[in-house]
Amino acid sequence: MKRLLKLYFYRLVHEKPFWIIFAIIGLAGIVTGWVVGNEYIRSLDPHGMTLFDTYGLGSYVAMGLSFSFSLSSLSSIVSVGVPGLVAAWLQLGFWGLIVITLFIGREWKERTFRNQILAGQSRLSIYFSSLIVCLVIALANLLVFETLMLVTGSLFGVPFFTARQLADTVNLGSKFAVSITLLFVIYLMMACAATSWSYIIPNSWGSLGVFYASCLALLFSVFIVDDIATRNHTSLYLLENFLPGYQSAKLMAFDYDNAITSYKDMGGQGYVYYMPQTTAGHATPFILTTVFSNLFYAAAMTFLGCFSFLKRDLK
Amino acid sequence: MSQLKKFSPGDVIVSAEHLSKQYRGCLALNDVTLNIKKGQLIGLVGKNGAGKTTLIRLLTGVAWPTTGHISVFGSVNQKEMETNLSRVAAMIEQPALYENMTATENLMTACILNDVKNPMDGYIRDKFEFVGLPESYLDKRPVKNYSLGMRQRVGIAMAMIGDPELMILDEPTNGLDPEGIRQIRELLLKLNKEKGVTIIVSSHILSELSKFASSYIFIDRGRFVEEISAEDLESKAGKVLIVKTDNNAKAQEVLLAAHFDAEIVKDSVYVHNIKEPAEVLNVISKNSLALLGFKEEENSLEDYFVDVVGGK
Repeated sequence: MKRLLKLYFYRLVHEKPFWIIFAIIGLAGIVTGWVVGNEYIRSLDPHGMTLFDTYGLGSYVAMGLSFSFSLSSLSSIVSVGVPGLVAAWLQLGFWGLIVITLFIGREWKERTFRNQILAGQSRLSIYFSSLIVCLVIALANLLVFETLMLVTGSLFGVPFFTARQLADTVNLGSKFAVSITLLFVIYLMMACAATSWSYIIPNSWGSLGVFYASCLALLFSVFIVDDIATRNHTSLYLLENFLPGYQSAKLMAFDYDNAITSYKDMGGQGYVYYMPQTTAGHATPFILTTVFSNLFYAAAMTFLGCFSFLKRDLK
Repeated sequence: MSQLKKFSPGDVIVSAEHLSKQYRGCLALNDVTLNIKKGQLIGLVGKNGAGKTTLIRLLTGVAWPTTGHISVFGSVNQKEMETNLSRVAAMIEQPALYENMTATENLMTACILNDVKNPMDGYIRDKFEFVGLPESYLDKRPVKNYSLGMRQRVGIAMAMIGDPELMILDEPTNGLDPEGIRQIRELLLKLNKEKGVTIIVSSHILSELSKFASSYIFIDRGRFVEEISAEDLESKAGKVLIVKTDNNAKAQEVLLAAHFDAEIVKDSVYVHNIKEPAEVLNVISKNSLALLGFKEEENSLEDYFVDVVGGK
C-alpha cells in the first residue's frame, strides 16, 4: 500500500487537471477574501460582516447548485457563522472533485491498473490507496481555499469573528470544531462517492456525470420519499431525516423551534440573510443524523465501488 | 514480507487447470490445462480470437477465470497469487503507459511499484539502452507523442523493471520495423539465456517465433491444442515434397490412397510431413506416372500450425 500511495502521489504531481483546478480554487479563495473585504459588501452588514458570517453572499454564490446550498445550511446551524463563504468553497470543491474521476479514469483509459496488479498489489489495496489520495485531493482543495480566503480577507482588515460571536466564548470553540467536523464528513462522503463511481464506471466523463447526477438524485430523493410517505406510509417520514434534501429544507425553512434567522431587507433587491442561530441542545440530534447519514453514504458507496472493482475483469 | 519460494530450471512455475472464461455467453477459453516450466521460452500460437490474450489476462490476474484454477510460482490461494504476481511482468496487447508522462517518468512509476532503490542512478538508463532507446532517458516528450514501435520498446523496458522471473508478452513486435523485431528477438533470447527469465510470447508472425522459441503452445477456438518443443516440432513437422507429374490429379489420388498427405497447389502436388522422399517417388513410379520434377522443402511453423488447428 505504501508503494501505491507513493505512486499515486507521484502521478498526482504530474496531473495537469489537478493543478489547474487547484489554481482556480486558490484564485477563488483570493477573490472571495477580496470580495468580503470590499467596503460596499461590508457596508451591507451594520453589525460588521466577517469572513465566517457571510451567509447571504454564500447563498447567492451557492444558488447555482442546490446541493451545496444544502451543505451551506448544514454548516450554518452549528457553526459560528461559517457557511457563506464555505458554501462558496463547497460548490467549487464539489466541481473540483472532477480531478478524482479524471485521476482514476486515467488508470482505466491507459490500462495501468494491470501494472499495479503485476507488482503484487491486491485490488483492495489499489482501491483504498486511491481513495486516500482522493480524500487528500478533496481536503487539499478545502485547505487552499480556506487559507487563501482568510489570508486575503485579513489583509483587507476583515475580522474573523463578530463581537457577538466572540462574546459567546463558551460555545465558540465547540461550534467551530463541530462545523469543521461536519465539513470533513461531507467531504469524506463526496470524495468516497466520486471515487466509487470512478471504479464502477471505467470512463472519466461517464463517472463524473453519474456522480453529479447521483448527488442531485440524493438531494431530490426527499420529494419521492415525501410523496410516498403522504400516501399512508408515515413511517417513511423518519427516513427523510437522513436525506440531504430534507436536512437542507429543514434548515432553509429556518425551523423556528430550533433556530432563528436574521436578514436585511435590500429594498426590492431581495434579502441578505445571516446565519440562523441555534438554540443550545436542539442541534445535537440534527448534527448526529447528518454525520451518520454522510458516513453511511460514504461506507455504502465505498462498498459498492470496492465490490465492483474486485469482481471486474480489467483490460 | 514472507520469503519468496525459489525455483530451479525445469520446475513448474505456472500451472493452469481446467481454465475457462466466458464473456457474455461467449466461451473465450474452454477447459485449458497447461504448465509452464522455469527457463522456457514459449511461443503462444493461435489465430485471431483463439483465446491467447484471454489466457494471458487470466495468467496475470488481470481477469478472473469463470472456472478453473491458476497457480503462479506455487501459489495456493488468492493472497499468495497476488504476492507472487510481483515476479511476473506482462505486456498485454499494448503497453500500459501513462500517456501524459515521459518515458523516464513511466519507468519511474514501475520502479516505485517494484521498490527499486535509486532508479535514477543508471538503472532506468540501462533499461532504455537494453531496448535500444537510449535517447528516451532525457526525452521530455510525453509518450503519447511516441510512435507505436517506440511505445512497444518503452513497454518492454517497463516490463523489465524489478527483474521479473516470468515475462508474458502479447504481440511484442507489433508496430516494429524489421530491425526492431530483430532487436526484440535478441533481447528476449538474452533475457532467457543470461538471466534465466521464463518468457511467453504470443505472436502472429510465426516465422519470427520459430527463430527463438524453445517450445510452442497451440490454442484454437479457446481450446488447448498441443504443447510441443521446438525439437519435437522440427521432427514432427517433417518436410514437404513438391512433385510435378504428367497427371497431378491421379498422383494425388494414389498418394492419398497410400496414406500420404497430398494436395494439389497450382501445377504441383504438395506432399506434407514426409520422412523419406523416396517412398513418395516409389508410389508415383509404381503407378506409371511420369515424374517431371520434384523438390524437397522444410515444413514451416505456419504449415504445422495450419495442420494442428485444422485450418486446411
